[in-house]
Amino acid sequence: MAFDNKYHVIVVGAGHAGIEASLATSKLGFNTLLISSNVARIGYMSCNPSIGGLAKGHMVRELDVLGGEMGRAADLTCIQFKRLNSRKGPAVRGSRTQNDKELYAEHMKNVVLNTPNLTVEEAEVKSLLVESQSVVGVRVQDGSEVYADRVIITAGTFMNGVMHVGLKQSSGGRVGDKASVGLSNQMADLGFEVKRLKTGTPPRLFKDSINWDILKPEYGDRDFYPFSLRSKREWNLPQVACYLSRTSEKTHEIIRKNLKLSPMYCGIIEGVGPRYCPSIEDKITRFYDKDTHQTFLEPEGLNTDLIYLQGISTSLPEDVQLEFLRTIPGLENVKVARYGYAVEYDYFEPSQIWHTLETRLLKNLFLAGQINGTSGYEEAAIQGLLAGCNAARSLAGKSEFVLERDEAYAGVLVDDLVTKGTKEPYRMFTSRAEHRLVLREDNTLDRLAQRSVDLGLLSRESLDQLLEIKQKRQSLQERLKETKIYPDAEMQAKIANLGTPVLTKSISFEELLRRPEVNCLDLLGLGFELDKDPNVLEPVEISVKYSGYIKKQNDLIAQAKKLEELKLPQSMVYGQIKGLSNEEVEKLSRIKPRTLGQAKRISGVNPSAIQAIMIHLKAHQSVSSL
Amino acid sequence: MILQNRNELTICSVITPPGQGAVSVIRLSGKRAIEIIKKSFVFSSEIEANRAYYGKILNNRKQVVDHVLVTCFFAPKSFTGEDCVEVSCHGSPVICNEILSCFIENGARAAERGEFSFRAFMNGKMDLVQAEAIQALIKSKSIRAKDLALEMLEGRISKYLSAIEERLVFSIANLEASIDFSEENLEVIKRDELSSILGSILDKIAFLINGYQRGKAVFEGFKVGFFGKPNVGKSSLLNALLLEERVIVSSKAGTTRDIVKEQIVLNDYLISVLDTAGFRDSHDEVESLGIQKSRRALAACDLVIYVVDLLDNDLDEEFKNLPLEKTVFIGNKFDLFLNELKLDKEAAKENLIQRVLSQLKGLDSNNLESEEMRAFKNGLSERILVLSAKDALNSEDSGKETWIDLKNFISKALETKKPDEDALLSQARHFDNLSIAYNSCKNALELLEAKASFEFITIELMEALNQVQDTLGKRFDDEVLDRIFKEFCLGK
Repeated sequence: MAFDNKYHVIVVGAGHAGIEASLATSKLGFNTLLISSNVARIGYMSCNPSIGGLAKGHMVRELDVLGGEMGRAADLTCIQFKRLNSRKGPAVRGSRTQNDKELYAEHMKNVVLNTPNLTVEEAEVKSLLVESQSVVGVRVQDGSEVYADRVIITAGTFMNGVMHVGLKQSSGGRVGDKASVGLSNQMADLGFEVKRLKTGTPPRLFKDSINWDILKPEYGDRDFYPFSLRSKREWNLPQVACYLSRTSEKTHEIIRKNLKLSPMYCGIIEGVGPRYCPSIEDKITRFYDKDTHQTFLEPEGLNTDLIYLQGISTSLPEDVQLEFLRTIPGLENVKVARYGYAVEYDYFEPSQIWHTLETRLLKNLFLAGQINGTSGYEEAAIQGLLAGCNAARSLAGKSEFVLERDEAYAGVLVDDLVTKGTKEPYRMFTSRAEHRLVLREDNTLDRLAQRSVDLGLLSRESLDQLLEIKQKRQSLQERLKETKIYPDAEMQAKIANLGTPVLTKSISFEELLRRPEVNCLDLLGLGFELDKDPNVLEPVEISVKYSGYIKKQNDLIAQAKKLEELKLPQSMVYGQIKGLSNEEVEKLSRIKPRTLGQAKRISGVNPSAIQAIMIHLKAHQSVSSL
Repeated sequence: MILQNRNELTICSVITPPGQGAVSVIRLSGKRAIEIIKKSFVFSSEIEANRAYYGKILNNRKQVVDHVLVTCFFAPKSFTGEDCVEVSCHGSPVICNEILSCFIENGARAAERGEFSFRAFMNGKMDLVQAEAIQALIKSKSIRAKDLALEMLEGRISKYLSAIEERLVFSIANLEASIDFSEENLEVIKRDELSSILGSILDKIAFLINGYQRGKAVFEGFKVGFFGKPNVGKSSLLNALLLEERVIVSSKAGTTRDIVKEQIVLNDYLISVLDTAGFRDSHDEVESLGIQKSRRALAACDLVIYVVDLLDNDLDEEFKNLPLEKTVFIGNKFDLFLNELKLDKEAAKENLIQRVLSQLKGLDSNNLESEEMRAFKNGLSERILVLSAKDALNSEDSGKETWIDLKNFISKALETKKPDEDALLSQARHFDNLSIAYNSCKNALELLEAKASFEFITIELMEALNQVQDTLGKRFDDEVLDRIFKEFCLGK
């Protein structure tokens, strides 16, 4: 094995989390070894060929401002772009790209292989090297040992992975890849709580075997809002359509008849699957009164002949899959390239990590991605970046990097995992963010620019570019507020032309823009000078139009902050606080919340407990102030 | 003293009212309650919970203080959730003090007002609404107030609020689903369906809010005022009420503005009698000032009693300002009427009805045919009492009868026609919270009708939900804690 013997950081796994983690530590100047069991599949999209979506798109933008790679890769390999919920309010719009899978992985691989300080090796990590409650390195399959000051594990669905197709099982983390056996067993022995989750993927179909003529094409948006502010606002690749079809009563009949052959329904699978992403077996069982379910046929790339059948994840036997697929319009003669399957894997109950993603049990060990119980590329990537940054910062003797819930979806994600744990694969939703209105895609830069400066992952050049956009937004906002419109006859005529009532007195451009029927570009015609860059216009327009709600949300944040400001000492002995139930004492002692606000979010900790803790705190304050 | 120690300590207090009585009860609560009682009381056998032991309380010099009954309750099955001891002794302040001194010498401390309930709340024995109910129960001054507090304690308001909470959660869940799963083609709630749910939530909250005036009146006293021309006998009636009813609860002026004269309990109701006598009678006063004062008083009244001289054919101009829905009429000076016209009470009443009706004709004709007006006319005979105030002051039987008539007439007028009195809001905190919740739901409904995007609607509904959960004590913020400290008289 051609390893050096010692690195600053070892990252285990080269999926979406591992890539961001290893790029972060190496860019921050630490010699990093990225170990993958299959180097050919660095950055591989194991499931759907798309990045982003509701709440997920938000995280990709956050990742981008902080200096992550996912947004860039998605922009460059985008073959269809959509802004979901575009007709709803600005906070719940989410960007999504369909991507060319091969090109996406190729991009990631190139970046990883060409980053200084970053070494990539193919190996399977069998165990951790542990000395007095600290991780000091890893041991790989041939027994050789590699030492490092920090280890980040991003093993995805590979740990003790078992794939199910019908009643057949095989060991593996993904079709074509071996499972990783040993690591999670060792960690369980070390005292980690290891549980099982399940996920699934739909069949991949051959493009040529589909009757496209009868299917309804769905095109992407005409306007492209790239994830990355560093990307150009134009397509890099030709844009393609997805196609819509539906299951029929016949499909459901076949599935129902064969349920006993589904591993989910005969008790073979013990792991909990995601409720929000049910298999087709689940859909027709739980929603038995629906006579049809929609499915999108999504191309996996420009040069591949594979089609991803969105919404039809299944683990029924192959012959049953083929039989029911052929009842779906357009698929009458379909040929299947790869059948759908379910995969069960080990994860670590995530309340075992701190907000830095370092484990509570072992020092210098960080966990990121699916092994923390999340699902989704985006959730994994942002954790990878945060774990990498925190590993690097702790090496540099810098403070923890923890995003707050009112600052980023990434903050919500980590806080939820650490505070509440999860029993099913955790996916981000906009409804998980209580401060949704201020966590918009459009204002990501404004929220996180300063954080990014502090982190230092982005190049000086890129940072300057971002800060310039931010500066332009601020100055536009100020000018709108300060510049007045004087309603002389000419101006009134122009205003009337916009289809909005004329003025009764002089108002600012900001006030005019607040009217629903007026948009930023209209102001040009009224003599207001504007830079037409949508990166500047859109966020400013949104913040003006929705200022009432944004203010309301900010007030709520200020209220909530009071509890977040009450820090709970790690040395707090919860058993001594009067009025807490045993369950509450157990949970609080295990999770050790950083603030009273976090304590409040722990499920099973009641309001009365929060009151009791507060009384306890006040009592101690009065002691210390005596 | 710091709170942490405070809560660790065992507390004691007399829990029956102060003063002489057959029996007084003293409660000890806290970790050391059993240990402390054992120092002063010898149990005949191993202590069992919820069993009364008869015996003597001895002080630390082994002198007998009193013969008592002692009952022990073990945590968490007690009022406070802690170990509790209740001692029933003879009802003398001297004995009570002596027993308390024993307990305090042996390590207990005197409880602060409300501290037992506070501990019960902290130990999860009751929710916030129920804790407040206990406070209200202790403070109730009339049977109706006590009933209301009991209903609160039994959780009827909580139940009502929970129903509102459930609908809010349902609405929010549906809205969130349509935001986060817009791609999935889900069959989430339709706008008009949601709008009817929001409508029903609004109705429910409005019902509670509207009950507050009455709920508050039940606790703080219904404001009753006598109005009418000079010399119709208002003062006599007022005096009759105040003189006859010996249970004067409070003569504290200024509890509800300076026009409250007296608080009395009349049948089951606590009543604040407004001093309206002087408004029109004083000729020194500038007339307009008197009228202004009188109008303000009319608006403040829960019940307006308009007094008429049966022999005086003109009702005065004040009549047109009367809030008819809360007005009843007393035809006074029946003795003179009887002498002069030789007609009985029925005739006098009929006569008065006709006069009121004819006055109504002088009013704005638009209102005359309204439903309320028709209801008023139909129920008019119920709203009229004929008497002579002079009799009511008379201590003989005829006087007693007149007095009872008057009392029943007033309490009947205070009865509500609505049968739904089981969820009357009486606490200012609940009213404040629900008023905010109401406005938020109203905003949500308006946004919905204006076709606003769902995430704005959820902001409003979340606010409403927060308020409802806050009322139930299901949600925590430090303002709630501040209120609790204030209400329970804790801290400095």
